[in-house]
Amino acid sequence: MICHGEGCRVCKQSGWLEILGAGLIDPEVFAKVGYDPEEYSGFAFGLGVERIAMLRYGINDIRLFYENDLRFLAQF
Amino acid sequence: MKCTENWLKEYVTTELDAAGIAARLTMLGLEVDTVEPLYPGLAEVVVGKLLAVEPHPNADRLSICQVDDGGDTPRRVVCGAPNVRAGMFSPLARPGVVLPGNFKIKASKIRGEKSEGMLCADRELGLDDGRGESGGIMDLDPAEFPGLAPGAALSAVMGLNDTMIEVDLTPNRPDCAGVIGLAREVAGVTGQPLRPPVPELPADWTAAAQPLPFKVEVEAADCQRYAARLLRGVRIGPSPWWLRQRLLAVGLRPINNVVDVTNYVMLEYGQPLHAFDYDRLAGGLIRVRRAADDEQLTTLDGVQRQLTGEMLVIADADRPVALAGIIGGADSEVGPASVNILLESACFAAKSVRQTAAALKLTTDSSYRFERGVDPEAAPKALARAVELIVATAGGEAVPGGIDYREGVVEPPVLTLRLPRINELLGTELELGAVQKLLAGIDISGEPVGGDTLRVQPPSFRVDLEREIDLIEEVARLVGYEQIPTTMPRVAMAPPAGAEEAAGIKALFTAQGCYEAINYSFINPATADWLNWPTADQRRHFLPLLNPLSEEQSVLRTSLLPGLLENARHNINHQCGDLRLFEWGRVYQPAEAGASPRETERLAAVFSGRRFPAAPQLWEGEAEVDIYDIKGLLEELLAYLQRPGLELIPAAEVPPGMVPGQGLMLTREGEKMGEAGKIQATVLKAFGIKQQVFYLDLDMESLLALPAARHSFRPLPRYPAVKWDLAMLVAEETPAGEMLAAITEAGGKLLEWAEIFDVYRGKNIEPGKKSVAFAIHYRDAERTLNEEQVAVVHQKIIDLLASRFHGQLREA
Repeated sequence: MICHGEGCRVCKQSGWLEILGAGLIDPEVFAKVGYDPEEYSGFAFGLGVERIAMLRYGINDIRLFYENDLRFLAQF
Repeated sequence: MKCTENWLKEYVTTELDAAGIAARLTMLGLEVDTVEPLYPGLAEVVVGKLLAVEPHPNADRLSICQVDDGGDTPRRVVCGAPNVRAGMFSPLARPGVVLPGNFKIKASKIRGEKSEGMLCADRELGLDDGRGESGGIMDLDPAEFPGLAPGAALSAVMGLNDTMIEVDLTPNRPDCAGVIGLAREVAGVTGQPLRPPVPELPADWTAAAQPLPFKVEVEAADCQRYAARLLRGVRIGPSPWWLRQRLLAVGLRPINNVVDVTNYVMLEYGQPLHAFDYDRLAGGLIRVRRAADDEQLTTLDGVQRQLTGEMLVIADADRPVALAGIIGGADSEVGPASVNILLESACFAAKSVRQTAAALKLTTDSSYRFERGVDPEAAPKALARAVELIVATAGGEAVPGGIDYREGVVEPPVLTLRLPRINELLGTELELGAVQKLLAGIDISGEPVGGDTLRVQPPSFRVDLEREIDLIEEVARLVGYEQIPTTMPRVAMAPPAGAEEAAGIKALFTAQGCYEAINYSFINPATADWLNWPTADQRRHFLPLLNPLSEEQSVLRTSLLPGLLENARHNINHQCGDLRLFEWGRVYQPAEAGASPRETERLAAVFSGRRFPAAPQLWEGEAEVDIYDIKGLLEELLAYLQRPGLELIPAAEVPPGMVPGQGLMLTREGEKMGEAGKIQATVLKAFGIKQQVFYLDLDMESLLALPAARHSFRPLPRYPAVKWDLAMLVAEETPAGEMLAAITEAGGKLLEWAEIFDVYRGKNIEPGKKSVAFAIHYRDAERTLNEEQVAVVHQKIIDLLASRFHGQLREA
């Protein structure tokens, strides 16, 4: 969306942006916190809201989200 | 891990091109970083044969060459290289060709002689090893390049049509740190067989007719395996092009034929090898041992390194000659004069190599592999392959027999893989036979036990497969994550309690002209001083971060104000000085030992600059925000919250860092729930702000925990209300709010409500006094009030105001 896959600073020149890491929870994680991994399984996922917003609006610098610059905030 | 398309295709047959292979690898969890065509710009370069060479009439160092480029007549090319001779083959760039570096070849006259092209040096084609000047133009050897013919495309002759593929390996896949490992993945996912090179390796290869001229003594458990062979009579020299080309393609510098073979086999098998100059090894002895604390070793990179007792070294009879699994020593390096070579192919424990590499801050292609875990069974295979290639490229012969110490090799565990578990975790409906076949595709063999279980012995190269779940991951990868059916989760979900009210409050702030800020929770602890917080202030008890990025982000915030004031400075410095920012977020404070830190939610806002920046009202002009803007916002919030018992009163005590007389406190039954006011200029200066800033800071956790008001219906009044005004002259410092409270007190049940409608100072009012005017609404629920009834109550109010505040009624 930002570099159209060409590679830029945001995607570290890869053309890709990871926005939603997800996966099966390792059974050892359950065992560690006292759940029987034979009984419980889980799927973990998390999306970075900043990255979604970057793609949605073409924002090219993630630091803008935490500068609270009015010229940025007033655009949305 | 880098490899090339052609290299991969030596071990697996596939129709896929480099991009297709990259896509498959990425979907298998082996993320491909780069796919890059090698040697761009050489498509038009051809092979030229020098038919005749004569000196240039006008220049000593130039020659005029007649070059056969496959055309009808030879081409005249002026060349400055010293190594031109009749009969040699060399790359020819004809006019119109653009060489790397955007170098365009043109027909021209050089010192008066016509030249129709350029004979090229390796550097001009990007085919050099980066070591600078070569001896002139490339001298292509017909023995090395069978397809050599005038006019032939250079890239076809030299095998330059290739593409580099770089895989970003996760640490759990050391098996793919070799091209064969990557090829195995491609083979598995495309259903093709893997064709690794099969070096001659008889079962009794270590057996020797006579005693070996060297010995290996392993004295440390961190050496799992040590295989070695001796080669005699090698001729050190440059490697053939095919070998140099492979190394250059993946970014390795060719050194000499023996060293290049060890690197090549490392890239092929993922098994690091080392070649010692046998004649430099004292006593013909290899000892794998811990270093002594006073030992030193000058490594191949020329650095003298101080060793410690934890480091594993390879030593000869006298001294260390290599850092095990990391780098060789300079003394025993294979150089131009080496004749006899001792080849090492070993397996060292990952942890030992990792610690030594970290201690010496030294990462090599070898340590990269050992740190991740090398296949303990690869050592003899890689050794045999290297011997084969060295004999082919450097001559010499292998001394029969060799060493294969393998007492440190641990057999991988046998795993039980349950089909129902696979299908339950992956959401698939696979059958046992299909699972068995998928795994077999990448050389993981499973044997069915009962109806729905496989007994799996992970192959030695998959050091990462330790548990059933690891095998299930393999199944998921091989099925293809994109093939796993998509189903929507069935989960009862609701927004968290309070989310709706919070959204309403944020909307209210936004409607009042505020922008929402979000700051990091990590702040600079120095802000406590900037805010002038006293030593005993609870907010000074920061939770420090263990590994802060910087001092400016080293503690968790205990207040939202530091962040908002930083934002104010940033905006003011960027010409946005009219600002209303709020932030709703958590603050953090340490709890008693053993308990988790306390996190509480607060809401804070800062106002600064002009009141109506966008469209100033005529009567407001450039007026700046003041305490009443903050107070107004707070009153709006209180009206929205509808929590009975909350009082907004002038602050009895000035909070640290704030201006006296301009402070407000939000309380309930004496408990403080928030504050608002004006920030002191000294505080602002510490933050780098030069204009007035007003703030509010609320404990939302406590506020929202209060019970909300319950409304019950009151019948509508049947009788009219009467509104009487009242203006009192009082001392300047008299709080109008307290006067209003007194009116309510004296008004009794006839008083419906009262409000302040004017405060006046100036003409006709003596200095130090002010006139406060109230509108008082009277009503009786039972009857219409007459003037006399109102007058009685009104007088009571006047009397109370007069006595309590020394007020004086202002006559109309």
